[in-house]
Parts: sequence; C-alpha cells; structure tokens
Amino acid sequence: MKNIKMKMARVERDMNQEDLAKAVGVTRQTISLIESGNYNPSLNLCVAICKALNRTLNDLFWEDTP
Amino acid sequence: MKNHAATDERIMYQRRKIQSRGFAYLMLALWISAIVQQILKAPFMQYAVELFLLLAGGIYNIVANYRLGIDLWNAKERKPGGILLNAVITGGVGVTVHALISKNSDIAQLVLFFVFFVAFFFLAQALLAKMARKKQEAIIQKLEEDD
Repeated sequence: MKNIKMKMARVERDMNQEDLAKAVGVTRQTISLIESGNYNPSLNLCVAICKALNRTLNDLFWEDTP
Repeated sequence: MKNHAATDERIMYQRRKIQSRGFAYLMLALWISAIVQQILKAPFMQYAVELFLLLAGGIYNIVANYRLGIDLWNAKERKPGGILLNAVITGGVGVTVHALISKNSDIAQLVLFFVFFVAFFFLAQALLAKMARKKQEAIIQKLEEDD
C-alpha cells in the first residue's frame, strides 16, 4: 500500500527524496520504495524518517481505520 | 560524500540475501561435482576437497545456527524414535545410491555400510538434538529471568 502520508509530509517540509534519503542515511531508491509501498522499513528507519520529517510514527505509518 | 548504499538497511538485506544464495549455489555445485566424479569413477583424492568443503559448509551452518539459538531441529518435539526412523530412511537411500553408483552388489558389504551409516547418523542426530534442547532450555530460562 502506498504511503501517501509520508510523501505529503516530505513535500510539506520542502524535501525531495534525495534530501530525505541523505537525512536518514539510506539511498533514494529505498525512500521511493517505502513511499510506493514496495518496501517495509525497519522500526529504526521509521523512527529516523519521523524525526527527519518532524512527525510521529502514528502520523506516518499508522493506517486510519475506516 | 558518504556512501549511503553501505548503510542502507534494504541494500544490506539484499546483499545478505545474495550472499546466502551464493553460498547455497556453491554448496549445490560442490555436491553435484562430487556426485558426478563418483559416477565417473574418479579416485577419491580427486574429489576429496569438494567433499571436505561440503562437510565444512554443513558444519558451519549447524554451528552458526546453534550459536544464535536457532532451533533447526525442532528439538523439543523430536523423539528418539523419529530420529531412528530418519536415520533408517536416510541410510536406506544412501546405501541404494551408493550401490547404484559404484555398482557394488556385495550384500554383506552393503549391509555393513547400512548399519554403520544408521548408527552414526542416529548418534550424531541424537547428540545434536540433545545439544539443541539444552540450548533452547537455557534460552527459555534466561528469558524467564529477564521477565
């Protein structure tokens, strides 16, 4: 499932995938795969992304119940 | 400039997967090489290195899993009867393959080979299962202490 929230949070912070990748110490491809829902990041990487985007785990990685 | 590919968890995971597959393919190639050379009736010294490396690879796998506390043998569930049955089946298959490859029809020799194989395989498996059970018990005890 695509992670739209993460992409939106990144865009709101005026960061491109490359910037976020550098901030959390991974490659741009990994960020792209997370956003497209093709890679499940470890909890450590989730936390690093949340810190870089100044969001909580709930904000970015918890699905809203319908 | 920092190389992020070296710290990227996804890339590291994929690299480990590639290396693990490489190891498995190498083991398979060694096994095929040893079997083919046996079929072609090559002298033992010619394929001894392949056999020893195959053995070393297997031992490495067992020891590494054991040290990390990975229960390869499902030690808690394994009973001596199951291990013996496994040894008899493996011994039967082993002796049949040996007889076919070497065209050995000496029944006494094949029976001796079978008995020796079953005894060795059973003892080795029983020992490994016992060691694994002890290790699992120690891990559970440690977890309970921490809890």
